[in-house]
Amino acid sequence: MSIRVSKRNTEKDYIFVLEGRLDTGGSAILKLELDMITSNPTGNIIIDMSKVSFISSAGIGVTVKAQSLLKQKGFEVRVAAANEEVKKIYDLLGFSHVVKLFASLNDALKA
Amino acid sequence: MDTPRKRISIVTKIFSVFLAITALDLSAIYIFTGTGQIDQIGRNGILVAENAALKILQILPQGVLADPMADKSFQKKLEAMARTNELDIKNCATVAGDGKIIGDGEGRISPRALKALRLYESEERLFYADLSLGEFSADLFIPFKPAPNLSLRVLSCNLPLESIRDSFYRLLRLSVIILIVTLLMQAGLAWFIYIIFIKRLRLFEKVSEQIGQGDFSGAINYGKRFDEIDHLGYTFNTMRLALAEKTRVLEETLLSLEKANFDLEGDLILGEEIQQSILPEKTAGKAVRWVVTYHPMSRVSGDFYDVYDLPGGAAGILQFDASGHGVPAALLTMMAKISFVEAIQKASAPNRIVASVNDELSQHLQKTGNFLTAFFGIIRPNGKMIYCSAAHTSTLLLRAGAEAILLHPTSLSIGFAPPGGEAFHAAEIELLRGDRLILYTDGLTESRAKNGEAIGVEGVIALAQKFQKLDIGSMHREFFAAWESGVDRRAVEDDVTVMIVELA
Repeated sequence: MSIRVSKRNTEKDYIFVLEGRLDTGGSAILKLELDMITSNPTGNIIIDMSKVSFISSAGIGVTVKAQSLLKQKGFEVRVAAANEEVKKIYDLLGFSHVVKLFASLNDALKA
Repeated sequence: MDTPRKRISIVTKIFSVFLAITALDLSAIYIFTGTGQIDQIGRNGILVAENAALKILQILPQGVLADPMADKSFQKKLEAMARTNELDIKNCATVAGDGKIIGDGEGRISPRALKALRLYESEERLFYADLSLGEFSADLFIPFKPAPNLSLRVLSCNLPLESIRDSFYRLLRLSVIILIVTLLMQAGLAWFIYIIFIKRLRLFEKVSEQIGQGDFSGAINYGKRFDEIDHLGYTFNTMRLALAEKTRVLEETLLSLEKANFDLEGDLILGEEIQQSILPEKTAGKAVRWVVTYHPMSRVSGDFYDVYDLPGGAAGILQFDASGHGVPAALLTMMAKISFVEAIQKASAPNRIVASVNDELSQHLQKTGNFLTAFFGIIRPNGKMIYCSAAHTSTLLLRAGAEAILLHPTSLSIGFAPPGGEAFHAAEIELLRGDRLILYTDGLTESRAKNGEAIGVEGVIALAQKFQKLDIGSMHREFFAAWESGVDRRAVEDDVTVMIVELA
């Protein structure tokens, strides 16, 4: 399996910690996990990407779609601790203004 | 599943156990009863023989006869003993101690007669009795001293022991009866085990085999006694019926899935044909020569390309990649194809064309979270190319001298960029004769070699440079063949499209 997803909740947010490659297969797994939240969200989704080595356009698409759905309910997706390569992809595709990127998980939680 | 090894049936195992028990029984009978009884019979024989010898001694004439058997009165007394059935003494003969035999005429003294003489001389034993259980008789040897001038003599007689024979055969009959009773008991026990266990287990075996072959009609019958095996049969039947029902449901579901899959496959084939039908003709784009490989993950693709003949003899080269793959991505390509065709008719600058597509599609794409990356370039006959790369994978320009130039994105992707066109920019570069422009989607760079590492842009450059000297068609063929042989096909997770373009 290319990605491992572990999740936990805070009082108001959902935290997803990813480990591995967010390629096509990994994106499908993440999408399944996020779909369970985005159908009836009660808080923001924070995705810790500190252990993500690669993100494909499909991975970007999953986070962008989750952001679109959460935005309608007054919440948002925050990507935390992404490495330079992942941040570059977000910037390149023009999604760094759609999905907010944070330097660390703490920063994303405090925002 | 492994084939079971040749089995040893329970019947064989139980029979072996019974055989061992029977052997044990016989051994026990012999050891604990038979040997003692036989010893007892032997001792009785000896007593009878000793008694006979004493009686003979009582009637033996003293001191006058060399051969008592020649004495008429002695013979009569012996015959009288035989008549009264007191002792049936037969074949009496007298043997001289010096080796000469009186009475039997053989002229030899037997070792047993000699033994009787020696015992008489050394221990003063009056007789010696030798029991022969095999013949159920005893030989009696009675030494005596005839007239003083004669040497010691031995009277030998044979004493049939009918009572011993009777005892022995009684013991034998008893043993045979015990053996037969034991065998009958074991046969009864075997039959009981067969009826109670084996016959019913064989029914389980038969019905299980039927179920294994998909026949659920067999059932385990259970009777009134309803013991543990009957309860197992009841549970087995319940499981059999449940399994039959689940199998039926599975078969129906499988059938309906096969039908649905058949319909879906038919739809996908139709979708594939439709998508293929809107790809450009090979003659499109007269200002350039181009070749392409279109490698969808499934029947339909989220990648797309197009080639246009534009005013002034220019050629428009378009390649785009919708996020995701399969049917959803393919539907986006259809929208984008139409949107690009309309935009090309309204604008001439590549960035304005891409911006127009973004304006038109963004409201739809944002609803679903999808986006497009695209490269659109206009190549004029003089080699000047103006292009806009909307976050598309860096296009490779391979100069005739082998220099590799990456044309990096000039704009954001289509879908989430702000409307109005400010996010879309154009760039310009000159194509020379022999230069090759290589456009590819991220499915190529993200494909992984057999060592697990992604091909990456560096891998694409290396492959392109390797075959650059070939004509464009051969280069493309070799490029793709080398990629296909170098990657792990299972690790190709996205559509792959590669276009190579050069000036005509």
